[in-house]
Amino acid sequence: MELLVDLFGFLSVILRGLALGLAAITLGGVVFRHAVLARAPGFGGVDEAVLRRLWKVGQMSAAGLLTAVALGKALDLSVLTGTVGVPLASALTAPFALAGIATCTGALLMLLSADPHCRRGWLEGLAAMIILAGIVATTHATGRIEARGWLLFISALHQAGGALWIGGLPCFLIVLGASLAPTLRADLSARYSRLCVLAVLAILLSALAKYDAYLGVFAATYGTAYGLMTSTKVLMFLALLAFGAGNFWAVRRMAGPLDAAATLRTRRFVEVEMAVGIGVFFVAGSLTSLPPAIDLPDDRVAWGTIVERVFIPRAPQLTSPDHSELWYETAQAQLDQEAAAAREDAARAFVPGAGILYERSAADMAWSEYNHNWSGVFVLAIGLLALLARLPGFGFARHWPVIFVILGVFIAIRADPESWPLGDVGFFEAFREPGVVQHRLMTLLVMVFGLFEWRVRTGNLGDTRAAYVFPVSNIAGGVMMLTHSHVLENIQEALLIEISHIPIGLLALVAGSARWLELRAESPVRERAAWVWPLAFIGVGLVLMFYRES
Amino acid sequence: MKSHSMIRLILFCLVSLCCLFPPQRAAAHAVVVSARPAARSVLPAGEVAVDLEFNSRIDATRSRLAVIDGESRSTTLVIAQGAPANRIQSRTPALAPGKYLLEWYVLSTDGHITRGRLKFDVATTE
Repeated sequence: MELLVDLFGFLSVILRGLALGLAAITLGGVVFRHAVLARAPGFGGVDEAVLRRLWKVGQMSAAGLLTAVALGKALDLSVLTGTVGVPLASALTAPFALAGIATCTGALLMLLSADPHCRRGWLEGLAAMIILAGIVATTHATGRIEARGWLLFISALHQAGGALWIGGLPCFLIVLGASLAPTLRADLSARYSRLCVLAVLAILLSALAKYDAYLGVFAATYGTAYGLMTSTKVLMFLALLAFGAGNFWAVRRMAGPLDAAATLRTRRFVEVEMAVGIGVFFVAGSLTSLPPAIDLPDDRVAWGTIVERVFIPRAPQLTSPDHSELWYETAQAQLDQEAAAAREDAARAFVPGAGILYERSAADMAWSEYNHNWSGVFVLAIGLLALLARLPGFGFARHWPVIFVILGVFIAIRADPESWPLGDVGFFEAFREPGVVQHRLMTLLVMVFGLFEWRVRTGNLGDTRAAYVFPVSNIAGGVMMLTHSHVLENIQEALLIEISHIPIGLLALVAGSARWLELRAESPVRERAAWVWPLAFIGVGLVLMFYRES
Repeated sequence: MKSHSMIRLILFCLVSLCCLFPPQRAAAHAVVVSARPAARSVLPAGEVAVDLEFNSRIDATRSRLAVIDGESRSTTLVIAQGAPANRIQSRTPALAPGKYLLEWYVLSTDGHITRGRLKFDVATTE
């Protein structure tokens, strides 16, 4: 039962992030089609194929939203009936379930009413309002004790702003890629750009009100899990703003002599903006599972503690403690001794899959620091070699992906000292421990990714599309790393560890986005981006090299 | 490389990455602001009034409260109706001296379930 509640935490964050993103694309699509396209007489001459593609984006996102919300609520209901013992009939009338039913109804109405020519605008508008209400009804605002109405309004404004801007990007991308007259494309882009300015204002104003209601003081922005996630979201918002500002100026150059270059550049920026935007929705999904920082005035991590732990580097731990010093080894030795004295079979100190949080001794922390710090050395080497490979005369450096394979082997050997090959727990038995499965998947992924990219670098892959595995993996990994960052209340140590994970997630996003631009953008963006991702790898390497747990 | 095999590889990367981050302990969404009995308190034998105040609105009719004795026997408590929106109130049956755990699974109105435990002792009356 407890495991179900624990599992539920992570899955609900993923489904919540998906639902937020898909709701934004659904709502953003409606606004784009009605407020940008349909306002031009006869759709400004946009051809049928483009209209159908725009409509299809809305249909697919509505279908995805329906699925994600239905799955999420089914999960919530199963946990509620399974753990709390609430009868299903009663659970179905709980406020969150009703909100889910409303969202699904809105999505269904959208699927049934929308058409490529925007003929049933009022029905689409109604569906959009129902979806927005359903999403807002499961935000923090619903649970607040005071000023609930105001906070629900603020939350709706925030969601609507996000939908208008980020949710409208897929449609904008279609318009940019369509074969339209330059003046028409410029006109549509300018309309959308003006809407985005309004959306940014809505996001900014509502964010200020949310800061006041959920954080309260600046110290909460770094001293609590909620505050850290909010700060991450702000950083990502700033990155989106930078891309948005680039697009804002590029749009104003369209239909002029630089039309083709401005359009292409905007398309590439919009692609990256969409990736970062998806990340923001997942971070937002993660935030909903955390208690607002203002409710946790005690046990915040002080700035001085963060500076001491994160910003004052200590020499990396490059020598490993002996395996026999680890907690489970000493505990097992003691159990063996006691069993021998009692002439009984010894119990096992570590039982894979038992779901027990084991103690961590100083040696365990040093072991973990050694793993992280050496991983940092590997990643730093990858970043430096990738930089070198760009210079003439350093052809050998293009083999840098091989280091990923070495890193994979290193993780496989060291990550789980109680299991094969270092510990007593067998290779297959260890699969019962979720942490071991995590590390083995990481090993596999790192090695496959390394081998793949190595073949790309050495030109052994005929298909250039294979190169996209790199940016997609980095962006997805970065998003997952950021989504993962939720901790139990305010356990200070856990929070300090999380602080080092957030920069890694952000840098992975930067690396993936830069590599994407290197592959797809034109000069000079391409050349600049090519320098950025190795630097991001160097950054990840340095964070890992100086990672500490004590 | 064929496009479908590339898509498969990208999907593999995405699914693997999802699996890389297994569930953490469920985030405590509804936080206890004040509790009666207080954690680690020592109370006289008899019935114990329970009053848990949370930071958010609680759906009391869909929450569960139980008291667990030293021998792991669990007794589900009846949650009182009419308490403030962010409180769970109840009363235990008469408790004999010993160690006890108060355990709750609460549903916030925004749909999050949070579980929590609190230890207290019932002392022998002199």
